[in-house]
Amino acid sequence: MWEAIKDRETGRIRSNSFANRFKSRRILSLQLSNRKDFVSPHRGSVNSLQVDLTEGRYLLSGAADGSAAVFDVQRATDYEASGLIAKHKCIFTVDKQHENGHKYAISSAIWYPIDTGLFITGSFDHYLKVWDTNTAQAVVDFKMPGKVYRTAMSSMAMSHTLIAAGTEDVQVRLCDIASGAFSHTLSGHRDGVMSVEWSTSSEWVLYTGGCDGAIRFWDIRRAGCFRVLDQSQTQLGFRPPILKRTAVGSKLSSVAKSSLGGQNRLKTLQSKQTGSQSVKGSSSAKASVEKSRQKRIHPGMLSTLDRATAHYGAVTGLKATNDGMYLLSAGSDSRIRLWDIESGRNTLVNFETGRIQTNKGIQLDTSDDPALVFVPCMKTVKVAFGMWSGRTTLMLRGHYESVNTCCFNSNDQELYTSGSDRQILVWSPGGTVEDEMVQDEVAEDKDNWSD
Amino acid sequence: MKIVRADKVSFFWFFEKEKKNKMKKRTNPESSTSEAKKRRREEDDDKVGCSHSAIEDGAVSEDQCLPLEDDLTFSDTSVALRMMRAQFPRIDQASIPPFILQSQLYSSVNDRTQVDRELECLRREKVVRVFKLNTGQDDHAIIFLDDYLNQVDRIVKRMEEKKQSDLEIFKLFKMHVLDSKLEPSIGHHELLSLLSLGGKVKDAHITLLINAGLLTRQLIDPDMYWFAIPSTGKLWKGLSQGRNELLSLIKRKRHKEMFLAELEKKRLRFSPLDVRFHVRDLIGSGHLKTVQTTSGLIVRILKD
Repeated sequence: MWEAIKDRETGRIRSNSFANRFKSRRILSLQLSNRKDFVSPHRGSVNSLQVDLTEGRYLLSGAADGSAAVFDVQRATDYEASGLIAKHKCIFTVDKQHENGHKYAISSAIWYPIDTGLFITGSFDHYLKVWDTNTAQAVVDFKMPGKVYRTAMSSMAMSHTLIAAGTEDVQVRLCDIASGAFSHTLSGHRDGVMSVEWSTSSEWVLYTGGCDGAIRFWDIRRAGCFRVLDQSQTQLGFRPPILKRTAVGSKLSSVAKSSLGGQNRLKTLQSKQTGSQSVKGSSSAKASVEKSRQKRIHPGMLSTLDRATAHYGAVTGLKATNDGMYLLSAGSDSRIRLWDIESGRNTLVNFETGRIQTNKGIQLDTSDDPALVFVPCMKTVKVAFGMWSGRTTLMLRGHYESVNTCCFNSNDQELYTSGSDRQILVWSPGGTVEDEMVQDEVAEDKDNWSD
Repeated sequence: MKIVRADKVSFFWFFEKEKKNKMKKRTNPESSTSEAKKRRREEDDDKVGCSHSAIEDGAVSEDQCLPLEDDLTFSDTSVALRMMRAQFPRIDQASIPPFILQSQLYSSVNDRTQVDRELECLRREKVVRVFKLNTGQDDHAIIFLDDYLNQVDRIVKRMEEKKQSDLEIFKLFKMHVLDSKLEPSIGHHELLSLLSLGGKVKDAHITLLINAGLLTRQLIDPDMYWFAIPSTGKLWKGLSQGRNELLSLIKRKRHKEMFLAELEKKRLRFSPLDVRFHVRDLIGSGHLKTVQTTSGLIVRILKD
């Protein structure tokens, strides 16, 4: 460690790589923490966890018994075993006994991204409530047409305060806190929407994954989605290759080929329509039916005809990387796919998951610098993968039932996971600070002056 | 055709060499080469190419395999595909083309991302074709394009014998659809438009294709079809039953593990495919794992 500090001083390694080296070492030694513990007040499986985005200090959890609780991650409420184990009890909780509390399970609890004064919970009782943290009162209520599966707010929104809610209804609703009303709905999915995620590069772009297996990209300023991810459109590598001109066979097969390689589905659907008109061999009855069907739909809504699926089952989890370039999606076909956002293609990185639970949404998390993905896989195993190789670096076993969420705190390199066994577990890097300092020195200690 | 002839040669050679009496006619040539290959396979995935050459030459002893490996210029996935195709068990009753499951590829090549990417390249070059199966969650079958086209021709011939009319739809299918649509599924309108390139096409023609077994409707979406391999329905049932049988065989043991050598001698009652096929498939899909011990490889059920 001292060697590394000296290198940084002399400029041999950059300060970024210096910090990353320690972070990676700490993350790779993650284990169930023997110094920190959350005392979970929940009496149902914990469905959602989030650390607040401003300070990284407060952890919000939502559970299936309709209770939401807030914990302080950095300061413990009391200590046990003569100060060695820190117990963190919840600061407050809102549950069914609360006069405005949710009646059924809470599926998603998120912080207001600007400060910790508000938090938002979405529940299976069809309500989405906005709470004031300091008084623990529900400030605004939104009634949804179906069970709320997931809610999300954009962390980089400068001009809007919209909450995107994915419900069992096919439409994604955007709720505005400032006015207390729905601003608009996004339609295009053909089944319930299980996961919603805002983009980390633009405040107007929303990604949603549905139970029909499709992932759609929406620009909320326009009607209809502008991209539907298709798992058969692939690219081999981080960035798409330079486009080659494909050999033109028959007119229609060239159109079909361009639709395979094309990036904008709207354009290809329209060109397919014109292509079918121009080819003589096509049965005219079919072409006219297609034409008339497409004529009735607004051009922005042509994407509803696009049936490409990103997964063979429902899309249960979505996570965009912090640099805004890639999107991870987990599906109930037990596959995790990494998508390049710019080109909309599947990068074909194979993540070796066992099985992922199919009935509930799961929460994935990513870490930037050692580029890892934390995925809750079925019962008890929580796996950390290298993002580009897809290999499992760590298997963390500690939960008694299936794990629902992972939340990574990059400030301390700690991982919080929650599961159906009602527990919130903390995984922290093993070893103490003294061990880290001493690690390199043992090799350096050479007695080269003795005979 | 080449493989058939080589098998006859190797059959005699191994018949003389083998001391144990495994006189099961169907799988004898493959199973005797497979034992030695199986042991070596676990150590080094890249040496798989030599078995391919062993079957072809027939007279090469297994020790001389190693230097031949340097001459092979396949990528790893390609080598694994050809080797597994050569080892496909011969089932005499039905004419089934040799196919490889994707989970078998995952278990025989180390890096799964590399497998995915190389498979994608092979698919784009039209060397292989990938089909989605309806057994289990994420099963895909990989078939060499030549084998698939042979199977389609066999079906057409059979339908000709039954005096079916309108058979040029199959030619259109092969020429236009198979050539341009490389994914495992196709939409109704796209299918019609691609087939129409060769003439007028009615819904009745599509029914003919479905009856022949080349297309199946998707359960979720009435407008989409999966491509399918004709006359293999009984095989998929056998596949899932064979998997269950093999897993229950190992689960019944006290410590839920078995020696691989012992496992290979067993014969499955419900599946026409042999144990070697199923073991590769189960390792790749994460149900089993292999552990190296001092007395050989052990296969263990993976708890999760």
